[in-house]
Amino acid sequence: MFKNFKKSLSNNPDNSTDHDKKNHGLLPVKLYLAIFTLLLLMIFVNIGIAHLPLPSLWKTIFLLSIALIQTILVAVFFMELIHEDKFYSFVFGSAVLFMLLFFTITLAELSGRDFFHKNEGIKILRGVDQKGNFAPGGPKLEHKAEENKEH
Amino acid sequence: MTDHDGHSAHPKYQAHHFKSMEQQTAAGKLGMWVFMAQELLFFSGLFCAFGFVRYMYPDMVSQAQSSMDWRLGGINSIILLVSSLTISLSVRSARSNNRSGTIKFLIATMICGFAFLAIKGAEWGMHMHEGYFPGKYFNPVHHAEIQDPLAHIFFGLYYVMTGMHGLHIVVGLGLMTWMLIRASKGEFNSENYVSLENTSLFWHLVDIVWIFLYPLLYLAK
Repeated sequence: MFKNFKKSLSNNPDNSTDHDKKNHGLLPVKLYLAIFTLLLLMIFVNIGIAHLPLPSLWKTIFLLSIALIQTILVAVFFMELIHEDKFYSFVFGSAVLFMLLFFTITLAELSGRDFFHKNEGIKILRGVDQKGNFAPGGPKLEHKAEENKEH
Repeated sequence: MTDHDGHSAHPKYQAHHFKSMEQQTAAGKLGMWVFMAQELLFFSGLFCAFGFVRYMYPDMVSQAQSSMDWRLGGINSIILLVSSLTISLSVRSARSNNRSGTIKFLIATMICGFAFLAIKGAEWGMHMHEGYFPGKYFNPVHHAEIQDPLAHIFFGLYYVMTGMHGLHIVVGLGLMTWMLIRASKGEFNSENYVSLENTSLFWHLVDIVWIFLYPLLYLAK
């Protein structure tokens, strides 16, 4: 996977001829323009999605999916990962992986708070206000508390 | 373009601790990608904070987002996209030994960067005119659309996220000014282009951050 990278970092400059040829390949201007047009269209698609009568969650999912495709296009073609050594993709990809791990753990914990709250465990584990809210005045938890009172 | 610039393995731009230009280029690029990996993690903290606030205060965020003008955000998205194209073409020109092309596309990218900052500044001005200041300074005027006192949380994050992004634009413009000076001296060619390419990578990262900021702040209501 990292053969080319190792070659280019090696002490012997003669090793890197293949790598040079590969790296010096320029992408055609037409390709840049095609990717630009595609990305531009995606901006308009995103604006269109924002104006659709969809639930907020679905809208966010669609918008972020388009943004993800845009990011991949920018990274692969504009940042030229397509003909760069795979090691750079690995470095950047590992950051993306840890970012996703960070999001998953943090947001999963957030959605799990209701569970802990019901069992009163969270009040002992962490400092919360009298209403059991982490973020004082959080409408979500207050709303839930009101619902419970009604029942 | 002078004749000697086009020659391979020219020692003029090669630092003494590298064995070859290829080794120097690979080391420079690796450093940049590692830097960009940490930049991604830095911004992910802000995005995660936004996810938290949206989850905890869905109604407030939705109301606060009504103050965002999707047209201005859309124009800024297009401006950044054009700038991404022009900086890519600038690097391509450098690698094709086209000095005037490199300079022209760099200038075009910088114009886009300044236009982005001008529009963003105008947006901030509009929000502040309504009294939408961050944190404890949040004090909406009487006719302002958003009166929810909790909206200070959204605007706090909004200013930090777009402010950090704007700061990256300013840094990018600084780097491009430096690259412009070097390009005008004829320093970039098919062998020596890694500084320019790293600048372009940084600029693309700024574009990627905006690709996510625009839908989250302006569109996902």
